[in-house]
Amino acid sequence: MSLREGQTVHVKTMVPTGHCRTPYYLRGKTGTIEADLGAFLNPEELAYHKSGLPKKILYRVRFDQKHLWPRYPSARDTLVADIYEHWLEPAGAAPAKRAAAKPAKRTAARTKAKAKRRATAKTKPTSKAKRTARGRRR
Amino acid sequence: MSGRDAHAHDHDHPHPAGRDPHAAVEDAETPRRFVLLEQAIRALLIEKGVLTAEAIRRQMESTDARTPARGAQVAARAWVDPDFKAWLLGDAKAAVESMGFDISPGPGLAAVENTETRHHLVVCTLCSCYPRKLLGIPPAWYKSRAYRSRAVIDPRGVLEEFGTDLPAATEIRVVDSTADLRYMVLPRRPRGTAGWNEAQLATLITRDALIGVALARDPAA
Repeated sequence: MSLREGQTVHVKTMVPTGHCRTPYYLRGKTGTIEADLGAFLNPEELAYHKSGLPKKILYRVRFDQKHLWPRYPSARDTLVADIYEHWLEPAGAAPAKRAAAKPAKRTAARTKAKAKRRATAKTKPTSKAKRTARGRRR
Repeated sequence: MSGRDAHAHDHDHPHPAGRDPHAAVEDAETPRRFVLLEQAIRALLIEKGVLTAEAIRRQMESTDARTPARGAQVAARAWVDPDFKAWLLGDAKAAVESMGFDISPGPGLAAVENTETRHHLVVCTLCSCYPRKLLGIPPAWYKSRAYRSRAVIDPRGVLEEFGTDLPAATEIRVVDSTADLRYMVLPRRPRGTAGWNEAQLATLITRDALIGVALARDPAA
């Protein structure tokens, strides 16, 4: 897949385990290709002593801060991150379109779920949270 | 020796009561797990003849010899030489190596230019990627969870805490160095430096300006 400068792209919302080079806060977000940085051995494979082949194209992608953080105070500010091609899809692609069609609903549902999780966490820590707390103390 | 009385020589740093100000630096506690792991692996590599203690020492010495002063020289040249600046912004690794700073092997290098309308701030939210081959070891705060998380969500707040006030009209562009490139910021050349040579200009450029949490020093200030 080759993306061109200025093209609008979606960062996929994959959640693979291991040495990922795409931060969580950018997954599912929409940005603009700023530059093609060339092809590199795939670090997500290299980290596990694999060949890293085929090489992956690395793109510098620009995001509006206001899009990343809804309460961000300035519409002027931006963020760029270097993202590998297999994490990106053109924003016109079918899955991206679906996501764009119902943004308000999805966000509302997510906020609700988050609030619920927070409320649960306050009153009754989950077993996972307990495990983590124990792990930290050690 | 302990306490103030044992301290008769002539200098003026403060001495907390009851503590020997010149105590040897020692590990107070049992070494942590990863320290022990590193020691064990190092001993094994030496025993098996993969590395020598001298090679390790040499590498540490070479790492410590890389300092932000190199970045300052690079930026100063870009300020005085438009062709070099274009080269630096287009192919930073080659430009930097042309000055005799060997940054291979290792990740690529990119330079981003601060202008009147745009200010860059570099962070690595995933770990602590930093142009070590050029600038040396990053400052401790660069690796802190607080900087790594807050630099992306509240860059203006972080800059303010570093004492860097930028006009609201300036675009703040955070550079999250997530992959195979390391970033250095080319700061803006301060006013009142017309006619300065490279060496003079380099004195105005600090590590923090090369990361983007500060501006180049204002010679008038």
